[in-house]
Amino acid sequence: MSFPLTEPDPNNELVAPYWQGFQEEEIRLPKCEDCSEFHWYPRPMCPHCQSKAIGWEAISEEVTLFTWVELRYDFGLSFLEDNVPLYTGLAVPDAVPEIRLVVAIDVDEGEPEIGMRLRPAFTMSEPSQQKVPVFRPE
Amino acid sequence: MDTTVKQSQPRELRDVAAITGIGESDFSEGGGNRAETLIYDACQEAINNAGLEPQAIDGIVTEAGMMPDTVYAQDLKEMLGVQPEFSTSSLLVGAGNVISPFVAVQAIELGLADHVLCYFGINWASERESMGSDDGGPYTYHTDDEYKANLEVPFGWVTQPLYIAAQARRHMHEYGTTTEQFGEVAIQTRANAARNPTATKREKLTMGDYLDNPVIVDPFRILDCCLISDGAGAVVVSSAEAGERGPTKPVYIKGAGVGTSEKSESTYMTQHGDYTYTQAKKSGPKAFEMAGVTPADIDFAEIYDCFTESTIVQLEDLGFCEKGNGGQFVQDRGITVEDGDVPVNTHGGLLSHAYILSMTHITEAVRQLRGTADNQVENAELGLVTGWGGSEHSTLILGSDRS
Repeated sequence: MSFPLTEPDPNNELVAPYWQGFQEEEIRLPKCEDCSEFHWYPRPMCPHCQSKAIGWEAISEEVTLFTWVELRYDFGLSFLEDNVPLYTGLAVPDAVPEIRLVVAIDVDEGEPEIGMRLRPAFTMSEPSQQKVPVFRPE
Repeated sequence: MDTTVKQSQPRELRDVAAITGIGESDFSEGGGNRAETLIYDACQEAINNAGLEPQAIDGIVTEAGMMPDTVYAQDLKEMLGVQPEFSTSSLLVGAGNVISPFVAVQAIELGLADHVLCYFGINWASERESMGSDDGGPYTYHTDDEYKANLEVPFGWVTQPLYIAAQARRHMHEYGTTTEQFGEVAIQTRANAARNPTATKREKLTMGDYLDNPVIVDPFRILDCCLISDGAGAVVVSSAEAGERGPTKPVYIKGAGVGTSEKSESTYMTQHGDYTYTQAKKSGPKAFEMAGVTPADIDFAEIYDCFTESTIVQLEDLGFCEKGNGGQFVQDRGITVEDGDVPVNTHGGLLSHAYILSMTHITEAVRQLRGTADNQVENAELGLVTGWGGSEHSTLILGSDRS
């Protein structure tokens, strides 16, 4: 498989900073400049204190796998056609345990396991010409 | 203002209104149907079934996710001759379909309408046939949502079966639920469908059939997933007194509840707090309280079975068994009309009857309580219906008699 399966929208200012972080090999999350709380997904207003002053901050890359699936069927979707089977899951970052990131997963052998510790490898994707994190066991 | 204690107590609405008419279209897995034609068929049948002329329909309630963009309430005026002065949308898709009759109860109680039509119809099977998955049917939902399109789909997190397969994996991990228990839901739901002539899938299944069925998103097989269908359903809600003067046995609306998460439609599936639960844990207790009954009193349940695991989780969250024991409950006690302790999805559900997002769970519940179902539960007096859409969930309790 080749991630990303679909191209992110570079002009969507809510989500583009997440993808910009990948280019510098960082996982960045939106953080309120007033109450200092992270939130996820990115919103135009802090869901904790309703401040509109939102910045982005890099977090540590360590995550724990919360759940995963193996997608084997393409459902007739053109962007899945040449990309299944694949592993994808939800992972809880050590730095912000209240949230879950959707992660692409690669394991050398066997299957992913709930509770597995993962770290991202930022790989340059063809043809999208940008770095994408794929999470692998530590 | 003291906002710490919720003041509103809607339980005095028990039995004030009844479902007095039901209607259904034909159900199919495609063939070029238009959603509005299916809806007109279902609505006409429901109005006739209530013994009313179309002009008597003075209220309309639909769910809020699809109908406002596809088949508008206003279209029904021109096509059917109904004259709604009260018209609104309730909650998202399945959650909306199941709570719409209760919104009708409120309109009737307030004197805004006498006879309220609730409808829903879908032609995703034909849409997918003619347009393909990229442009029509259930999956465009993911690529149309800016959050899903940018934060989920690029990493392979896409399609509704995947969302619930991920919940199922976690349920297996936390509670020891097994593949065979998911299989039991598929097999027993199909056994109910086999006794219902309107079900789309009626061939009985064995555990061997289930285990041999292709895994599409591990841990789910095709048989763990609901159908993609064309079809529609409609009900008429009237005051209890009007229902008792009508030509068919009124089915009383005894209780209703809504459960909603702190998360939104976009974030719910990946971020909601109690990951192995549904919002039935909130909607169920409210509905039971309003109806003045407990799960032990329920004779049958029509549960939003978008996936096999969803039946298991909602049985737990509604209190039919302890949390985590839903798989064991289905395996040991059974959910068929023929042999089950608590018959579930007596018509075959979304898994085997048709994917009409719980609107036909309601019409089936009404037939059961009238005693006219093909796969009839003996002496059915109290039935429960659930619906789910995004971060919203509804439970409705219906009964054959006034309390």
